[in-house]
Amino acid sequence: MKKTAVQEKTPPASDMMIDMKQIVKRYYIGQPNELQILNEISLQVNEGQFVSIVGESGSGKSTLMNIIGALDRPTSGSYFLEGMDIANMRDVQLSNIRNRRIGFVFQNFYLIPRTSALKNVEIPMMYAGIGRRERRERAEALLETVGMKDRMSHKPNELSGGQNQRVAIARAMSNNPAIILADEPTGALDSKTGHMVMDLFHKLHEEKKKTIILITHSPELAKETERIITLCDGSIEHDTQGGV
Amino acid sequence: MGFLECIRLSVGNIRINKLRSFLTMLGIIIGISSVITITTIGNSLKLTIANTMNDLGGANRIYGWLEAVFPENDEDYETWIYPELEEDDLISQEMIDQYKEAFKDEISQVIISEYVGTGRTINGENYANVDIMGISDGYLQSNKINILSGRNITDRDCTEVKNACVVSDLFVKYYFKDQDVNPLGQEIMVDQAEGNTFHGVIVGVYQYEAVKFGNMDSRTAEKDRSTQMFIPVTAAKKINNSVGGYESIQIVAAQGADATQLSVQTSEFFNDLYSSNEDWMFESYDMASELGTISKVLDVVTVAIAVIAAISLVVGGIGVMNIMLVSIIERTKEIGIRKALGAKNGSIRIQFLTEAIVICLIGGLIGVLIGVFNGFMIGKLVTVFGADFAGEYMDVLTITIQPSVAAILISLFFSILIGVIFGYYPANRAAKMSPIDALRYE
Repeated sequence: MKKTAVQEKTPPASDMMIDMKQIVKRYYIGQPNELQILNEISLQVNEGQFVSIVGESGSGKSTLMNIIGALDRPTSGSYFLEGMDIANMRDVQLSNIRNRRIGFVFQNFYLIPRTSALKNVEIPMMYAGIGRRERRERAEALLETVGMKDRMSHKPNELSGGQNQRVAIARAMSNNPAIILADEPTGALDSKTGHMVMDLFHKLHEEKKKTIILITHSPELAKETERIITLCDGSIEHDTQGGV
Repeated sequence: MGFLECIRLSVGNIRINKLRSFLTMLGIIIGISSVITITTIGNSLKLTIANTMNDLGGANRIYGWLEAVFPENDEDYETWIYPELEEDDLISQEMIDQYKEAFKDEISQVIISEYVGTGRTINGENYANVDIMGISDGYLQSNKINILSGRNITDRDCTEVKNACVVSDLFVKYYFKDQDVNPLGQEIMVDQAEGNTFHGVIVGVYQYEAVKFGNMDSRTAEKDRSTQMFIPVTAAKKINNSVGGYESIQIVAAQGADATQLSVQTSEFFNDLYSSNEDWMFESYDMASELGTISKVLDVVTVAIAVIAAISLVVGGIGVMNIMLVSIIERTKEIGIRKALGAKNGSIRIQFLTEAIVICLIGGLIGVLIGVFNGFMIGKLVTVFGADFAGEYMDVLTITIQPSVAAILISLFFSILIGVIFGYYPANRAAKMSPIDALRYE
């Protein structure tokens, strides 16, 4: 609730954005159906990289994304984001990280229904304590970048899938995050609009030098990125550089 | 997220679900409007009664009169005969002087009066009926009788047994009908029903108000109506051929004196003087305690009904809680999205809590408006239907509707409180949802 100014991106000690070591995630700990989803995953992502994580369902992609996105904590292992120890943070601190350092783009957009595109883009800024006028100005500018300014007062049910996803990308960018975490962003779109969305990511990557992590099960999309990490049964199977 | 932000969000959400929000509020609206209706009527009745009482004499007035001593046991009662009031049983001028001396700081006036009887006075074709009343100085003021022209009956009129009289404007209207004369200084002659005749000179004219004179028979034509004619109390005694004292007295308590206490002390004082009288004793009664009793009864009734209405408020609160719980399940995904976008648990909690409070407060405000409206409507109905049988005595029945400000503020406070109490649990449940589970909820 405190109105602190948005943290400007602090330059990391190295250009390492994500530094994960031996991340383990288990569910139902101590119960007969105990389940280990991630097996000692170690992963480093540099600033400005466009990485894709591929794997079949059940390979642990989503769990890994939840941990990278500070939505969940690992059972063991260490995770540093821009040098900050995420694995040992309290809920309130995790909220702040999600709010200011991470931009989420989801398969089903996850826009708040019955709320205009503009208001949706403003939400992260609202939780960051930015004033109304500034919020509105920035939201309008962001919607302009994704080509949605003329429809900013439309509600999600009045927009097409591709348009909604563009609004969601504008929202992900609203607090100028360190990384954009996109979970199957084209999964609910046809191939044409899917490409449009992918182009938007490429633009963000090239022009704004954003670190982008794309989670997908489509090898074609993965090939467009700089680095492909293949997950299988909770472990990294391949880590190939240079898709593009 | 600021306070205003929360309110804006809540109002937005309430507007999205207009019908549901309204139905949720309904319990609160009914509860608050009943509380406000009841308290408005209670408050208004109290005010009206106080006003009427004040018009009729004021709270600082004490009445004292002689009452027969009733036998203490039933056997004696059967053979008991109501005693004859003898000359020497009456309250004498000496007793009054003694009393005045003993309580000179607490009383401002002792007013005495003696009733003579009805009579008619004829002026050629014209006539007017009168009800003759002997009074002392202070009687007119104390009874809030408004002198239109001329003067009052004074102490000097009494001591010198003057034939001065004060008549009503109604008397003037019919007695001097079609005659353009100044009534003041005119000599009149009243033929009394008992055969006596009173010669008087008009020294004052007062404003006749039916209410104050207990003349409830409004069906009598105005010109035949008996209005009071006031003469010096000594003159009245002369007509009545009585030399002793008085059956009753009125006491006006001094400014700041406790009339109720003075009433008790007055009884004690006179009953000391009457301790040797086997047949008669002194009784007293004061407006203030009468007013207090009525107020207390009204307060009890108001509180009792308000408590019942408060129960409906609690039921309304449970309704709010129920809808909030449903709404939170329904909006689980929204909560997940907000959390993913950086909403803290506290922000979610305050958002839902504010929503519950805003619903209750809007319900409360609507309830207050309806309650005040109901109060005014009931006041109007009493006036409209009352007018049919009350005629010109409507003054008594005209209720001054005054909503109780305290009740309104307390009601609004309780609306907020109910929002907090019944909104906290659902809000807290929303706040504690895991972001992943909430996000994946279908």
